[in-house]
Amino acid sequence: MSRNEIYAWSSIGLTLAVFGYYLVSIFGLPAGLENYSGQIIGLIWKVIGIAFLIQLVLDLLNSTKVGGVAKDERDMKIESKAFRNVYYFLMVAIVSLVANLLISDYISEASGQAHLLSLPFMTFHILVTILFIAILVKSGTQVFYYNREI
Amino acid sequence: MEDYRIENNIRVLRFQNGEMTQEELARMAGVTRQTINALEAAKYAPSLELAFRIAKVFEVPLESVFQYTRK
Repeated sequence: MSRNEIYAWSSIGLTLAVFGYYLVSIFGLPAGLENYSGQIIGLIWKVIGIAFLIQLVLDLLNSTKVGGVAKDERDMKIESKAFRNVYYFLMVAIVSLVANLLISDYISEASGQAHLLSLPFMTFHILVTILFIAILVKSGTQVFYYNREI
Repeated sequence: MEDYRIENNIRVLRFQNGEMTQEELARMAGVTRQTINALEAAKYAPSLELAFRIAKVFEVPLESVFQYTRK
């Protein structure tokens, strides 16, 4: 496994953990899991810590150029495919969000009741979710192409 | 248009050159060991520049390392 592949895996772990923590802090734990909140939060922090350490070590290795080239043309080609997929995802997600906001506003005005999705805090949560998913799309695409023909 | 693919003799050339390891070839060609591994497994088609660099490491013409063959 190359350094960049390890970095992509750790990025997936870190993003999932941070996103999980974000969801737990916003919505709370699902019913029935409240008793395990300490263990779940502890697990999330462990994943965050381990992933952060892995990325720190990889960044240090890459900066010192120990163990050969840190990134070559294949890594860059895979990264470019990942960025392309993120771009497509962000375009669809942002356009859908804006369209949804316009429709929600229209419905809210017509009905006289505030629609949940048109509220600013909800838009903020959706944008944060889009950000996390975009990072996952990037890292996921990289892991995918590291394991198949490119 | 017919389907063609890029094949290579990197593994053979490595062994003909003093059983060179993937790590050594990677260092000399300026890429990661995983890229050499992907090339040998025909999972990656290199750029023209990398192809020339690898041929230069083995001191052979480009077509001795890479072939453009029908699938």
